Amino acid sequence: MSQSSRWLNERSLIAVALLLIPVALLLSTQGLTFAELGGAFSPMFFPSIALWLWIGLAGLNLLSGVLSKEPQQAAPLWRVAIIALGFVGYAWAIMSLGFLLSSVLFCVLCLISLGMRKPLVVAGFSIALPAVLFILFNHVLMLPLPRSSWTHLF
Amino acid sequence: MLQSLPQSLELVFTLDGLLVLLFGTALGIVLGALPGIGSTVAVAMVLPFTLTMDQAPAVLTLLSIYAGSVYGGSISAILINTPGTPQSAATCFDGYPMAQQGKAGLALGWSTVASVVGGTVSAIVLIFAAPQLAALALNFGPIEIFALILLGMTCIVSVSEGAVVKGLMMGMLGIFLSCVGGDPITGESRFTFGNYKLIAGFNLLAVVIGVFALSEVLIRAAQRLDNTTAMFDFKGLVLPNLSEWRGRGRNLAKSVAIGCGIGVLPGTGAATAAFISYAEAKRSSPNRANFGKGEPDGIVASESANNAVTGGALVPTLALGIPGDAVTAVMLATLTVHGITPGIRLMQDNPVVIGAIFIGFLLINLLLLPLGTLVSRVSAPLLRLPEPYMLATITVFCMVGVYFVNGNPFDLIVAVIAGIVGFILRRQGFPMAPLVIGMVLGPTLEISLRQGLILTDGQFSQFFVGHPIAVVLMATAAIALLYKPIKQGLPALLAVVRGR
Repeated sequence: MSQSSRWLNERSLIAVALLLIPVALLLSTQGLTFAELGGAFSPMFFPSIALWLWIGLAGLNLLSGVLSKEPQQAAPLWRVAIIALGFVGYAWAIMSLGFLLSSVLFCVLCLISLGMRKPLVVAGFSIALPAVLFILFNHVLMLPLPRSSWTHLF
Repeated sequence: MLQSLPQSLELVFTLDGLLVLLFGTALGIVLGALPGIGSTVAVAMVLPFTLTMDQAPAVLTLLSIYAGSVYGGSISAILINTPGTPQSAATCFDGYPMAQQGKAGLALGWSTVASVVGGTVSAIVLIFAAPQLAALALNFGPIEIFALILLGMTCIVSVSEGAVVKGLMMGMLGIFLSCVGGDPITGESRFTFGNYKLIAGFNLLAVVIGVFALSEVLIRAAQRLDNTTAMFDFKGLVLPNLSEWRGRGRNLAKSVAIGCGIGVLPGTGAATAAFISYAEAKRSSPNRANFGKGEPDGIVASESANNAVTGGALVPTLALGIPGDAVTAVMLATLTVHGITPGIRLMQDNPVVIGAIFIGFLLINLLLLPLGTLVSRVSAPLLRLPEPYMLATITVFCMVGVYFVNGNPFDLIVAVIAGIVGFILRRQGFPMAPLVIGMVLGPTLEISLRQGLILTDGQFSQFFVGHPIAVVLMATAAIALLYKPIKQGLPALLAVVRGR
């Protein structure tokens, strides 16, 4: 393992981020008027304790990460990136395209990116699963799932 | 609670109540058998289906999923050497070798009977222990509650899977996340940064589903997916004869006791109980030479202990509102969704529902015997289902679940972010259970601490004067918190000092 990768790797970047986040959050509370309320009455009393403890633990974690000689394991992250983007798109699309369409699209994306190559099976599963859930919730349980903005049918 | 027993029985012994128990347990067995789902995700997946139900059937459905999934994990452990749930990992050691010898049905028979005995005894423990503990806790003031929750928080150390600092950090992150939104005393908004969607705080279930289920999908996607699972021929479950039980009763009794005892301790969990019980059986069994080669005592030890944990884990959950692990934390969160406030007043305020939960839980464990026999045969072919289909199904179910908790699209975004962040953190060995425990216990910890400080004019030292129960609880918490880090860290520190 090279010297640069020992210091600059996924583990150390995450450890630094986990240290900086509570510091930034703590700094964001400075100057807030309600934080001037005394002791236990202050809304920031308890979160500040949690943030200080978090900072201390993050410091220890960073130190142990730097001292650690365990190699970082590489993983094929392209598939994860596609599915993670799929999650984001799915969460956004549910409210605009509706549950049925967005779920069909997500299932197709997910199955293809995970290596499923039989078009009929992929299409059949991607349509059947959301359709069954849609019918079950909207027409049996009477708990309506979101519909698309251009039709009331699905 | 005894006065409300007739009403509790009425809630359970209706057509709806019995159907809920039957279908819930059967579904729990199937979900538990599918590797990668696990009890926590199974409970979260089924949650939206319970939203139209009344309180008791809804909670019973989730309990049946919980108990069913713990048992179901043994099916895949025995048939494909892959535990459906972490609790069944120890079952692989002897279950799979039995399957290799052509005795898959008998191995499942041992596992089923052991699970039924373990679960039933733990239900009885729950029925007797939880009301006693709840009655004791009813006299607690804010200082005692603070000390109690502090003790509950120490289970973070136990669930940290060997990474105590990382676990404690996740616990702090969970506590911080629980602080986002309105302050419980002054009502001021905290850490919302002007975003009105954050005023109500983060939805616990959205975070739970994100960090457990969605991150699991990403973790499995990062691994090489195996679509061709080898499975032994399985023609149905075979129950062991009474004569085959000769000499195994002691092992069964000891394993059930280990499971119940460990279950009551917050944070230790069913997987730990199964491994401890397996190790003890291996040490003391007259058949110890056969362990690892298909010895029924190994299956009995593991399965009776992990099912015995379920009832034990519900004791602090229902009596004190302290979840012992992620799945009981999800159970507590779902109680809130159904209008039941968890905490030390839970039993006093909801005696009928709690009575129904006790009766239902006992029945669920008894139902494992007939349902295990039937459902194991049905669920076995599902183990051949290619993993990508399962991952897509988990994601769609989880999105439905998150959406229905509040009907709030913002929760979907929270779940997705939690899933991606959970994946990044889990890759670095950060355990997720402490985050959930921090989020569940954080609000009570905050209120009790601040109320206690207000009552004592800000003098924390007064917490130790005139509050003997609080002192004992805090001392126990300190020991529980420091014991493991010192035990782990001291040899390393000594090695460093000696090295220099």
